[in-house]
Amino acid sequence: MSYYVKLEDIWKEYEMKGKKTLVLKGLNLNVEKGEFVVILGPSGEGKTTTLKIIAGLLRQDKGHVYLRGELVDDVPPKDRRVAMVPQNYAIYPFMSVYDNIAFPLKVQHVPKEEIRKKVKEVAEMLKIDNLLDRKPSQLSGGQMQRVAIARALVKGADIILMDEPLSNLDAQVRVLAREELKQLQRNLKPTILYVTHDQIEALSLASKLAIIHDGVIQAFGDPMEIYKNPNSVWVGKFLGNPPMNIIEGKVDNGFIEVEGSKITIPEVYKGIVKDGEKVLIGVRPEDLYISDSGAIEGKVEMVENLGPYSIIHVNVGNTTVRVFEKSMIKRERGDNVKISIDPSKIILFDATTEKNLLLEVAKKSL
Amino acid sequence: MKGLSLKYKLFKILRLGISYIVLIIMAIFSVFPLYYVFMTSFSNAPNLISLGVSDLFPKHIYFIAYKELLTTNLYGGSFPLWVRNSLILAGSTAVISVLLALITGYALSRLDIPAKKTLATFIYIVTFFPYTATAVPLYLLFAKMHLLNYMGLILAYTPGTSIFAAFIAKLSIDSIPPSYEEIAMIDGLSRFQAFLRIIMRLALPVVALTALLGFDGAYLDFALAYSFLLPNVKQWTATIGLYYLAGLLNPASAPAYNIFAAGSVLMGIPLMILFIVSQRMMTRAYSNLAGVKQ
Amino acid sequence: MDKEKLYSFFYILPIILVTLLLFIFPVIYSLYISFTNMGLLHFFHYSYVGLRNYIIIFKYGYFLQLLENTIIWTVGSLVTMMGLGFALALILNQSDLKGRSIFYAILILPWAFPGFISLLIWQGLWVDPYGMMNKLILPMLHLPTINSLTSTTDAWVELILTNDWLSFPYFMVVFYSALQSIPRELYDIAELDGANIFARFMRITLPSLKKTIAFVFITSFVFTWNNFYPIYVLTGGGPGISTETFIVYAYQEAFSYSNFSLAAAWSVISSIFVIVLAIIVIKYTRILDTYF
Repeated sequence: MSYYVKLEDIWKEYEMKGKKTLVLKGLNLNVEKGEFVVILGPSGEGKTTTLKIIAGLLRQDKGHVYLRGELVDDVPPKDRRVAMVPQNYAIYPFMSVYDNIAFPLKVQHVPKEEIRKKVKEVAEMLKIDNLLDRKPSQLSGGQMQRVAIARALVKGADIILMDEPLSNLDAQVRVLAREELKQLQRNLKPTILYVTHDQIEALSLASKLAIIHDGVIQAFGDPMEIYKNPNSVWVGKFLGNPPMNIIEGKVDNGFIEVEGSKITIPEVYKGIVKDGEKVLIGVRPEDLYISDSGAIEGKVEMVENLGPYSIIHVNVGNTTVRVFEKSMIKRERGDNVKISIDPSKIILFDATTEKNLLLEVAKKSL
Repeated sequence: MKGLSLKYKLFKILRLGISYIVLIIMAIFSVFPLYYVFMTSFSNAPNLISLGVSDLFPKHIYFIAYKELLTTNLYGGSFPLWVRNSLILAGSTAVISVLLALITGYALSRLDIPAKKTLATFIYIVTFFPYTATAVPLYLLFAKMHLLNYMGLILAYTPGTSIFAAFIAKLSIDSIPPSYEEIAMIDGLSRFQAFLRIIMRLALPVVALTALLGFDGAYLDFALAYSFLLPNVKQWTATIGLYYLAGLLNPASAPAYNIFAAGSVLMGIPLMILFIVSQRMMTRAYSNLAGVKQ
Repeated sequence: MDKEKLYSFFYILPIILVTLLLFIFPVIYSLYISFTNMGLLHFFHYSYVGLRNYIIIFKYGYFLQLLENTIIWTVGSLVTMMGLGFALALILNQSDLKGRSIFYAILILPWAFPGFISLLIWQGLWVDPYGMMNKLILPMLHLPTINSLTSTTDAWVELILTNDWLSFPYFMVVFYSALQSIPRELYDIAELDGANIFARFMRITLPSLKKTIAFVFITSFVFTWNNFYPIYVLTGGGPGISTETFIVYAYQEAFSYSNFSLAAAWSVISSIFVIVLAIIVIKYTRILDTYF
C-alpha cells in the first residue's frame, strides 16, 4: 500500500560555523492517512529538520520524500500542499488577524468572497472570530496559537506539520490546547506530523509515536505499546520519567540471576534466552515494589517526595534502581530494603546490542 | 560633615557652571553658520563685501533672493531644473540601493554561500573607497564605456551605501525568525516573493535607513557629478548649481551671494529635517556598528 | 544541493558584479593608465611611458609632501574632533544637567545639515577679508584673522576647525550613547567604595568605552584620510600644494589639469594606502566577527 507521508532513507548534513554535523542518517518514516504522528526526541536531534524536509524548505542530501504516494523531491514548498504551524507561530506582525489567516488564500488568488467565507469558518471553529480585526501584538499566547492553526487549516491542506506549537504556552493553557487539538484532529481528520520534546504531550496526543535519535527513527508505533515494550534500552530509558530501570543479569537454568537473587524468566522469553547468556533487564519504576518478601536487597540512596507518591532511589550492587511508592511509609537514606519484581512486567534486552530480545526474534520470523 | 557638604556643593556648582558655559559656546558655534546663511538668504546683500552685522539682525526681510533663485535663468540652466535632476538621481539611487542592500543582507544572513566571510571581507574593503577616492579611475573607465551620464552616476553611487546598509540589513534579518518566510513559502510564495513581501516588510526600518542613506549620498554628491556632468549645464545637479552659485566655479559670472544662501536653505533645511527625524534610527545603526548595545 | 547553492549565488551576484565593476576594474584600469601618457592631448591615442609618472611623483618630493599633509589632516582633525565629541558627551551625560535634550538637539545640527552645503557656507565665512569670520567674529574675540591663501598654518587652522564643526556631533552622539549604556549601578557601587569622580572616570568610564573609542578612532581615521570635500572646497590644496592630500591632488590633476595618467598613478598609490588601512581596521576591530 502507499503511505500518505513517506520518508525513505533521508540523509542530511549541516554545516554550522565550519563544523559539519550529520543530523539525519538514513531516516525512514511511513505515515498513513489521517494519522496523528508525534515525532519525539531530544533537542538538536533533527526533529525540525525532518519537518522542513517534508515541507520542502530544506533539501535532503540523499533519500526521497513521498507525499500522497507521489515523489516530491523536486516540488517546491508552495506546491506540496502542506500547512505548517511553526514554534513561534510566525504571525505577521504587520497584518491583522484576518489578513494573517487569509494570507495563504490571497497568495493563491482565491476570490475575495470565498476568502471571507473560509476565514470566517475556521475562525468560528477555533473560537477566534471576535479577534479578526485585531493586530497580533494584542493577542495572548493562546490566541496566537489558534491564529496559527487557523492559518494552517484555512487552505484545506490535508497534511499539517506542527513544530512544538504548544511549547510557548503556560502550563494550564497547554493542557486545554492539547485537548482541543486532539478534538480538531478527530473531527477534520488531517494527517498531522507533530514535533515535540515533551513526553507527556507526545503520549497524550499521538495516535502513532515516532522516537527520533541518532539520525534515525528508533521506535515507531502505538505510544503505550512503545512505553510498555520498548524495542531498545535507549528507548526505554528515554521514554518515561523517571526512566526505565536497567539491571544487569545472567541467565541461569530458567532463572535470571541478579545480585545474588533469582528472578523467574517470563513465559514469553523462555526459549529465546540461553543458559549463561548475559542480559539486561528493563523494568519500569511502577512495576517494582518494596516489600519484605522482595528478592533483591538494596540500600536507599535518595528519596524524592512528590506528594501523591515518592520515588525511592535504591542502590543495588553497582546500579541505582528507581521505585515508585504510593504508600506513606517514611524512608530514609541508608535504610535497607528489599525489592520485588513482577516477572510478567520485565523486558529483556541483549547485553551487547541493547535490543529487545523478544522483538528481535519477532522481526526475524517476519 | 558640614564642611564636606559645602565643598561638595561648591564643586557641583563649578562643574555645572563650566558645563553650561561650554554647552552654550558650542551651541552658538554650531548654529552660527546656519543662522548666518538663513539670514543672508533673506537679505538684499549682493556679495560678501556688502554683508554686514546688520544683516545678521535684520530690520527688513527680503524675498528677492528666493524669487530670483526660482525664476531666473542661471548660467544656461535653472535651480528648479537642477533640483529636479538631483531628485531623479537620488530617487533612483535610493531604490536601487535598497534592493541591492536587502538582497545582499538577506543572502549573507540566510543563504548557504560558500566562503561567506571571505566574500563579506572583500566587499567590506570596498566601503573604504568612497567614490571621491575612486573618482579618477571611475571617470576614466566610464568615459570609455560611455557612462558619463546619470546611469553611470547611479551605478557609482549605489555600492558604497548598499554594502554599508547590507551589513546592517544582515544583522536585522538575523533577528527575524526564518519561520516567517518559511510559512510564506509553504503558503504559496517563492523564496524571492517571500523576501519581497515578508522580509522587506519586517525589515522596514533598515529599508528606510538605506533609502535615506542612498538618497542623501546621491543628492549631495559633488565630486562625481561634477566630473561627469560639468560640460552640460542642463544636466547639472543641485550641488553643482550651488557650487556655481557660491562663486567657486566661475567667480566672474556668479550671481548675487544671497541667491546662493537661498539655495543652501532650500536644499539644506529639508534634508536636515529628514535627518533629524531619522536620527534615532541612525544613532542606533551607527552605535550597533560601534559595538554599543542599546 | 548544487541547485540550492546556484540559487543562493544569484542573490549574491549583483553585489559581486557591482564590486568588480566599480572597484576592482577601475583600480586595475588606473594602474594600466598610470603607465601611459594619457592626458588632454592624448586622451584617445596615448602610449606606454613606463614608470615616468611614478618617477615624477617620487623624485620631485611630491610624495613625501603629500603623505605629510595627509597625516597632518587626518590626525589633526581626528584628535580635535574626538576630544570635542568626548568632552561634550561627558558633559551631557551628567544626570543633574538640565536642558540636556535641548542642547543635544542643537549640537547635532552641524551633522544634520548637509555637509557639502555647510562647506560652501564655511568657504564664504572664511574669505579674507570679507567673510564673516574675518570681518566680525575673530576681531570680536580679539583673535588674529585667518588668511588661507598665503599662510599654510592659517590654512590648516581653517580646515581643521571647519572639519571639527562638521564632525564633532557624530563623535558626541556615539560616545553619548555608549556612556548611556554603562549601567548606573557600577557608579553607585564605586561611590559607596569611596571612589572620587576622577577615579570613577578612570576605572569605569574609560574601560567601558575602550571598545567604542577604538572602533570610532580606526574607522574615522580611514574616513578622514579619504575625506575630500573640506580641502577641495576651502583651500583647494593651497597655498601651493601645502594642504593637498592624496585624493584631492589626484582629483585636481585629473579634472583641473586633465593630467589623467599622473592622476591615475596618484590613485593607485592612494588605493594602496587605503587597502592597508582597511586591513588594519578589519584586523583590529574584528568588525566582521560580529557579523559572522
